[in-house]
Amino acid sequence: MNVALLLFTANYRTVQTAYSELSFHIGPLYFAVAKLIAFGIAMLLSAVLYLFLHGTDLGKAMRAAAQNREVAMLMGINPDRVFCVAVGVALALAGAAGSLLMPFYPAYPLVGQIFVLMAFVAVVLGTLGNITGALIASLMMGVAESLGVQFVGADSGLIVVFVMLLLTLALRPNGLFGGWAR
Amino acid sequence: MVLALAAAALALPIVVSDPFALDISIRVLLFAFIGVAWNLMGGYAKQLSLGHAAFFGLGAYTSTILLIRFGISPWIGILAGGVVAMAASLPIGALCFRLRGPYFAIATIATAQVLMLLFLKFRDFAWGAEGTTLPNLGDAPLMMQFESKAAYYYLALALLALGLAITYRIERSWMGFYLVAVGEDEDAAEAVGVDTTKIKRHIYLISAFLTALGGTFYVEYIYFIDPNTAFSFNVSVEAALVSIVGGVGTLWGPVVGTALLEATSALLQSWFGSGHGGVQLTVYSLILIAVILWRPSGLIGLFTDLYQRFTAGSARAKEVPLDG
Repeated sequence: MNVALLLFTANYRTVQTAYSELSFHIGPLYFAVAKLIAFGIAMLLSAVLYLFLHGTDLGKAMRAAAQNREVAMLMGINPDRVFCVAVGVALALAGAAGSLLMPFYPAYPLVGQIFVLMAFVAVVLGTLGNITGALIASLMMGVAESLGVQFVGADSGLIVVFVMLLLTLALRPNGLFGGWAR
Repeated sequence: MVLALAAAALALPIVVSDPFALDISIRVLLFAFIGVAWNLMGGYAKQLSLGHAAFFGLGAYTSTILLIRFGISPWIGILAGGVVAMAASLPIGALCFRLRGPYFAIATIATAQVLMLLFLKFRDFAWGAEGTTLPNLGDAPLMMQFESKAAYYYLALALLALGLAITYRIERSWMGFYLVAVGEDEDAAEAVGVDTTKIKRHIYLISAFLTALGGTFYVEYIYFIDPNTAFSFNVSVEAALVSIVGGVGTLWGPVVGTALLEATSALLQSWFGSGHGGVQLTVYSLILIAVILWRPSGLIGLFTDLYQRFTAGSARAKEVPLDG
């Protein structure tokens, strides 16, 4: 991040693509093409990730190592190797998400900080290690923020998101898909 | 050794008169103090809170509002801020203590963020996003405002001494053992009869109170407050980071960590700051990564290892003639 600050300076940069400004209407609904493309590819990548984690041996090994390191080792899994792959996959996906954002979001060296917090919130809200949960949680957060901006005040979108997170954790300490509180 | 350290700390402002060096020392002391407060919670009881900015900000805002709206001296405000932070820690704790690991961390971040956003909204009452400067009263010790930096230095030193004294007392009482038990294994501690929720609540109260004192001191020192500095996520991270680098769950860990991190960052800033932006931050991050890879349990381990080797060596020297 600070290397980026050094290399690219602290200026904001944007990318203009052929479809940056395009949009279309369906009835009263308004769609920006760039955001729709980003949404489509993100959903596709999530589906691929889900298949990878649940369908391939490497994905299953990854989930096993996360659940119980020692037992996974007994089953002949090398947790260090698996975690290395996991970090690689995670970074690749985060990079993909960054490039998907570029047509409609400015880039600057510290841009990641906003997303780190929101990504952490989404993952925790939807229970760690649960892809469907994270997807549903992110949708809820987006809707909650928009509703907050609409009905509470333009600066209150994030308050609504965080209050929603806290209330959820109060009822379900392990996130939405982690079972009821005892 | 502690006495020598204390004497050196007391003598520093007499020897050093350079305001830049004193400013760095004050920041070191302040962040060491906040690190010590965090360490009670995050080090001994292993509750990884990333929301201590909530208490820092509450302390800062309580004393500032009392000062500007009601003309009450920050000496009273600093205690009032501590009490407000303690009161706030009760509902936050009630909500967060049932959560474990990352769920606890994110819930504490969320509470600090909610408080920051609320203070951004309170425009009439707490000046909203633009913040406010504190009235400069010149040399007014009764209003916690001093002409010389040395006075602030001694105040910060007193705070740190208070934090260390409290930690020392807790470390050696039943409470310290309960906390370590909770930190090691919460379920096991509960099973042998430790009321884990109660002990966490108590230590959270103490930790919140101390952090709020730090917040009041900080605004009195920089004469400015706004939600983004008072509730800055960086404060939470810094408090955790200095303890982790220095060594969590140890009395001197946060002090060692802050001395290293703040001094490096200040020195790097004065060496590289005029060149390309970002160089000093890059070097700082590299040092941070190196320290954590090399000493995962914190730098304090280095000192205790050396100390043990030293005492073990002299003990063996004593044993030899006995054997012979």
